Amino acid sequence: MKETRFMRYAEEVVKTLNIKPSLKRRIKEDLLATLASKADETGIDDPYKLMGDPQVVADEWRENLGVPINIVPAKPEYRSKLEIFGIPLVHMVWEKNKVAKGIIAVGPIALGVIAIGGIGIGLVSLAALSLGLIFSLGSLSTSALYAFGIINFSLHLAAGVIAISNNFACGVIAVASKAAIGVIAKAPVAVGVLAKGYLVFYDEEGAGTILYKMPQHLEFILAEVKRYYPEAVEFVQKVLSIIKIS
Amino acid sequence: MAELEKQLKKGVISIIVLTLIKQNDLYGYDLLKQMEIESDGYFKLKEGTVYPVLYRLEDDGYIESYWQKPETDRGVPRKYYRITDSGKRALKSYQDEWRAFIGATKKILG
Repeated sequence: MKETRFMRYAEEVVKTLNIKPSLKRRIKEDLLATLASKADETGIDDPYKLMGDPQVVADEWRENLGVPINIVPAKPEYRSKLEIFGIPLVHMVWEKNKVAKGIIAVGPIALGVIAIGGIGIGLVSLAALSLGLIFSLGSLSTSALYAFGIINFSLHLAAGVIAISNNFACGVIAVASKAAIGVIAKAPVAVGVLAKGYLVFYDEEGAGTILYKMPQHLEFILAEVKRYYPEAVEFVQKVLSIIKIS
Repeated sequence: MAELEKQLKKGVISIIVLTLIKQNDLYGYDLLKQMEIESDGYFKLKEGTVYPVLYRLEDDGYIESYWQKPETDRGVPRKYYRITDSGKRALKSYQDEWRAFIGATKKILG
């Protein structure tokens, strides 16, 4: 369609002019009328042949309207040329509310294999609000496997200030379906200052079926965990080794 | 030299535009062609040079525009310009100024 091409050309001319929208409309209107007249007269309907390079045309208008050059700000993003399956290897966005999408995505909202930013969604996510399928780190962090941060939810392992997990949790407040270690711990296997569960090792207050007051030797704790909840042994051993319960 | 020519042309575009529009109502492209033809190609100007002059003249109330479809049905509507009474008075003043300018310049240049 000739009219569509003319419209695109006129848009191209006015887009770099730093002028009011009403003046842009006025110029577009006149460009379209001129292009139509020239096309009628010559039979040519290519706007570039009729009027030439849009940038040169824009410069002419700019000079005679006395408007400053419209400095187009640098794109507030970086997109790597290297792509994998059409997805950029790296996509970084600085503009508010824009979404970064890449193998490695960095931005206010990041979506990628590795997502870093304000809100991150990916296999591995490092973000204030973080959703990572394998690994997640953030203020509010959720993951299928490993979630770390302030408030964490995970299907497998959560660690942080408040850690809630379907399997194992470790934190100031730790709640889990298998084993939890924390200041306050609630799980079938619970180790904490205040602990509640089935097999419980507590320091100040405990509630459960099998209760042991701390301190206890690590070997004893592990033997008891192995006896009642063998699948929690590895988790308990690793965490208690780190916090040096011997 | 090219810069001087450009500046001289710019200085007289308003008078030329008002003069041509006073003779006949014209649309933009038609005006560009008239300027070129009547000056034997000397005033072959681009849209970006002439339209801003038209805008200024219109904003100052010296010319006014109206849309009109050409006689052939297939043609697109054109924006014609016509001179206003205020424009006629301004043109008279411009012409007086122009004559004074030419007279004084000739006197020096010989």
